[in-house]
Amino acid sequence: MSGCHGINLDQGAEWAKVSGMLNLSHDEIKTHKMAHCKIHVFPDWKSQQPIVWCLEPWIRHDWNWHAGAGGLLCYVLGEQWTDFVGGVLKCEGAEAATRYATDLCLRNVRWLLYRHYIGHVTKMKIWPKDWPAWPHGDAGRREYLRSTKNGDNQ
Amino acid sequence: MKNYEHLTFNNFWPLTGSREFFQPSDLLRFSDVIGFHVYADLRLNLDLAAAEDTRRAMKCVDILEDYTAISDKCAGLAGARVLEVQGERIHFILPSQEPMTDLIRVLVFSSALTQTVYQEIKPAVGDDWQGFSMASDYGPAVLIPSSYGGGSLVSLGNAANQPAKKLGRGVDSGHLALPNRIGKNLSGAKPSGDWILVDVLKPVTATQSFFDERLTESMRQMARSVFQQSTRRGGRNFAGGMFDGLSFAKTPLRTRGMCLRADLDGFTKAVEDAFKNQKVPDLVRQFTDVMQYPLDFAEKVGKPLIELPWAGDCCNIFIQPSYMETVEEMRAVLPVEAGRCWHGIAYENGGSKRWSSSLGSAKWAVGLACGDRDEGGDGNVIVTEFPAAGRSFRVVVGWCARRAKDAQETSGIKGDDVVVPIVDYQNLEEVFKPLFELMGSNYRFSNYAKLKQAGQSAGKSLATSSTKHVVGISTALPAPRPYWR
Repeated sequence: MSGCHGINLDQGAEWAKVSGMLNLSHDEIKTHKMAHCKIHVFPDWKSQQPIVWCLEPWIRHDWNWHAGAGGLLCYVLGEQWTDFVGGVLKCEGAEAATRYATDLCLRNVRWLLYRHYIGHVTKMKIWPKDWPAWPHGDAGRREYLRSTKNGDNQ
Repeated sequence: MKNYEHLTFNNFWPLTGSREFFQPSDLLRFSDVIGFHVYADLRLNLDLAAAEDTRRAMKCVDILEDYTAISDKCAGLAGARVLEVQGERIHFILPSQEPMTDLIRVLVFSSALTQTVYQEIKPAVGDDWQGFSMASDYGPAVLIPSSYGGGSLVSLGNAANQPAKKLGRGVDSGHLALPNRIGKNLSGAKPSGDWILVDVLKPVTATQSFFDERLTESMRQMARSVFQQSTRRGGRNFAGGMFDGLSFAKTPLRTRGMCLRADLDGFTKAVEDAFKNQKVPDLVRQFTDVMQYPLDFAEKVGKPLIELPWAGDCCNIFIQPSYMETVEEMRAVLPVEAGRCWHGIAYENGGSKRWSSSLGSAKWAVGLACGDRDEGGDGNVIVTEFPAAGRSFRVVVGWCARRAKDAQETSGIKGDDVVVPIVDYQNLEEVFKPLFELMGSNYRFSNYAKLKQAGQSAGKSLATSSTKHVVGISTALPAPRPYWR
């Protein structure tokens, strides 16, 4: 993250807060686009995903676009986070889990933000039907749990 | 409601020497003139890279300012007047009712100016010299003042834009291009398509009468006096960004962004009809309304813009990044964003009803350019203003200004198109590249219909989400899939 000046933690802090500019390149997409983001990381990060806000004017604060008030991003289901990060912690240790958690958070945030940005540039009105997303609310959690039962938890 | 007043050219011209004349007003005073439109084109290496290097930037601005001042004074000696200055290109008018008799005046003016530029300006340019050419056509034109771009005089008429187009296609250095219908019987003329070229640099027996040694000497003296004054000019300071009260004339601006040039494809027909059917006042009303179009664009595109003078029916704008946006970010999406926005004004949100009467059947063709470090320019420009003819001419110097014009003038471009140089295509976000097709070997083009559907096209390519391996960890990252609480 550029423009980020490190993290200060007081004893008894309930979270660590970082903010700065996040480049949106991910997977096969190479871009110069940066987004101003704010991230809160919790002491129990293994079971609670970081909270991420994007402060860019092009963010759609719209539940259909998986972003709430203040640019809060719903980038990964809590249950999925716990399952995957917890799984790596259990099998491959804390160092691997830290790296994995960082990658999972930033990749998903970049993936979501890039789609917001392109949606803004092209004046898309709705989140396209063929863009992956969980169903809203409990239905999404239920579908995730169903998929894990079926062994299709990717 | 706007009022219109037609003035004779002789009554109109003195008014153009005042900056106030170009300010927005309820009364629009216009004129028409018949005569020779003469264009002079100084070609420098400097403008491509000038904005990247302070020393070269200084040299480029100095040379263009001196060239403008010299051309203005020399025009006065030959009975011509400066209509517009577009950096290296200067547009003169030589009023005339008798084309056959007065053609010799154009030839004498061109030969004296060409020799002056070669003998006085070329040595100052040094290795950055690429040539100097002229072109001229005869016919009527209507002159409409515009407050846009610091104030400019828009001239509409075939004769007013054909020489510029001919220069764009290429005229040998040291030559004057004339349409066949005017110059085909001239001795020493060589054919060049529908035009002929006359060597106005080196006299031969057949062309001796086109050269006037006394006029040339007077022009050279003028040039030397301009250079003497310019040595007292001292160094320039460049402004690094826009601020309230910035005067481009005193402090040229060095900045980065993209140039947009929009041409009204098909408007020439409306201009021809207006002259043929004696409906010039209607044409003035029509075009005055068309000149509001970029104001709508400025409101809708939501980016800082620097207005540049109209060049005939071509609108020129320099677009800067939004707050906290970089040029690199902007150039990756602007051809899609600004291209759609420009064309959309004529079609979306009641645009067709609003604009159909003034645009008629004409449609905009848009060129956009930025450049990068490899190609040159990298979006750098200098925006400055030069004094001439009692007026101040805003010019933009840089790779993107030249390339936006070249892009818009690319052969085969039509209304509703958006054209970018290859380098700017390469810098587009990947998801937008399929919207642009190859045109020749140097340009890519898209059109309004495609840009309007950019969301669908980009949407399809972004409908992917897959697992990803993390180095040294056996569990793959799950495919991204956002949710809502």
